[in-house]
Amino acid sequence: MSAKFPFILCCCILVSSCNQKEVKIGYAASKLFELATPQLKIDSLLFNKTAKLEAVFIMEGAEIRYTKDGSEVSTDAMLYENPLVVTDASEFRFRVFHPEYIKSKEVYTRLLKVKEDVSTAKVRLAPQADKNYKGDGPQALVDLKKGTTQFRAGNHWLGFQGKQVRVSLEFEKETAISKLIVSALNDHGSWIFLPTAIRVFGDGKAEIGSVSIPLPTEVEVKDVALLDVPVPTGLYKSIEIHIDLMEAIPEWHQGQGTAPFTFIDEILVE
Amino acid sequence: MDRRKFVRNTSIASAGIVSGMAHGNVLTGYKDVIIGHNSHQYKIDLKWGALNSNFHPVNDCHEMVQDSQGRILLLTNHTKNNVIVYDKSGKLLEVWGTDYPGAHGLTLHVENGEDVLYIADNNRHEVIKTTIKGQVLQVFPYPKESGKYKTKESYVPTETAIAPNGDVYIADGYGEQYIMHYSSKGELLNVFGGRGEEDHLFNNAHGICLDTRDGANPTLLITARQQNKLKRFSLSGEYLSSIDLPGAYICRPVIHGKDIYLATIWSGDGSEGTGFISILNEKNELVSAPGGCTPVYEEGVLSPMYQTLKVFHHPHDVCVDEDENVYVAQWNSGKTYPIKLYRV
Repeated sequence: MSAKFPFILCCCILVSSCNQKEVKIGYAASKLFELATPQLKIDSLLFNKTAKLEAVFIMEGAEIRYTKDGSEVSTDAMLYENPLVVTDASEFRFRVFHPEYIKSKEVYTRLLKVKEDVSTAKVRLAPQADKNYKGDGPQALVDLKKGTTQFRAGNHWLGFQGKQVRVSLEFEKETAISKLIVSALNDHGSWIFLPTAIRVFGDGKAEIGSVSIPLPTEVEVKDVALLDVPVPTGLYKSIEIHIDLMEAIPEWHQGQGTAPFTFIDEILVE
Repeated sequence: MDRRKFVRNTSIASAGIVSGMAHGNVLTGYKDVIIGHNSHQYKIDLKWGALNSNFHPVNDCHEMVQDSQGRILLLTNHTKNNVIVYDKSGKLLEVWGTDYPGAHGLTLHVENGEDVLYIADNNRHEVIKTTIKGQVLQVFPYPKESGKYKTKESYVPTETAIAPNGDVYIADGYGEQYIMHYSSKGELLNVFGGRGEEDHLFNNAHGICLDTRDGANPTLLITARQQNKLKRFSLSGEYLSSIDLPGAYICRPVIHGKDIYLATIWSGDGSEGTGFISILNEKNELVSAPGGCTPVYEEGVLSPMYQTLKVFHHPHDVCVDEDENVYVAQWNSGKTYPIKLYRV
């Protein structure tokens, strides 16, 4: 009996371990998973006096931190506790931390204070926006009303396809300008891409500023891009903006070779 | 300038490049992740159902059902094996189906004691009824007789629901947004819905099911995905009410016990790589959102939902088994196999 006992014990352990192996499930560990970015609520990306910026992330144990100086958001960055009141043009970076998960990516936001109201400028477009994405017409490009990444909400966005769109702005009076900002949507999931280049021409049709936008090489997070075009500071009665559109979707995208859309909601003057 | 830096510098609200759902294995501080809220919380098996893709490939994993034998059936739009049959542990049992390039909706119904399947194929523009082994029994072709369609291509069915009397409802979720109501023999009895923002209309009528929780008064629950709503209709097609789920781009409703489960393919502002699972209780309140934020109701209104943890990548359907465990099929997730959630 005593000689058989170790043998039986071994068998029991073997059977037990085999059974355990059959039912063992490889549950995923919390450290495998990355936190999503916080939700930002901004009452006005373009503001005259103040704007309210709120960051939201309802998850037990999670905390939101942020920076205002362009630096990376680390665990030492400021802890977000209450909505922020913004009085000057500012850039913010937010990130979520949680002791059990991988920190989120940063979410970046830039708020602009309106420096020059050109909403009375006469806007002409060539060609006109696509018939399905006409927004509130050409004047919507200077109405100081911003669209959001949900481009179907509201009539802020004008959509274009083709080689180029030319926007001419004729101001009521000579206007001091040092920079133009073209606000465009970057939403690869909806086959909407940024322009490839922007050139600005002054009263005398001479080119006064330009910017080239590098082509994307992979799917980027949906966002609203502010494309700055510095120009020599001066007084202008009118300007013309040539926006070069991407003619075909890059080969890494499921829509490769077909014509993407370019969406523009606002042209700002500083 | 470097593109990524350029976009980061210019964007109003950006969050870097979309990442995959799982990252490098970190063994230190190992702790099983638990997702979900309140009564419905889960551990995750990311490897459930993983197969050798050389032999049993998937494209999009669109829908899943459990048959009367307890087996789990997965529908994919890969024509090497449109239907993959597993046991609950994820072991492969059989595969069939090579004729469904647009395999999208999979509904199981028991007729005279036999399991039958309805496959909504949005490439073939029709719904095919088969045996559980894949033998074709009946085809519901594009409804020319409805007078709503000029071409076959404008009819893109996504889901089917079967009434207690055998009537068949088909949602044209990627087409003109109509709901077709057929007799079991395939006679078109009624057409309702259509494209629009009004209560009785749809923007992406992606899913449909019979809500049998009130046994004496079954109704239809139909997804209006872009509207973030679940709409209730009578079996005769009258609009009754809506359930608002802001921020939740829901796929088909799945009734299990007293609850409604819905894969939520996008969330928040509808960004790439988002999504979670929505679970509603018998009062049609969102009680748990595995992968999503804690549901909060203020004065009876649900606050907008969004993803908090990158567990899922566009969940497209859920299947709930008798153990209350959930199988999640995902769309456009890099040809990954389903994920299983174990209720804790």
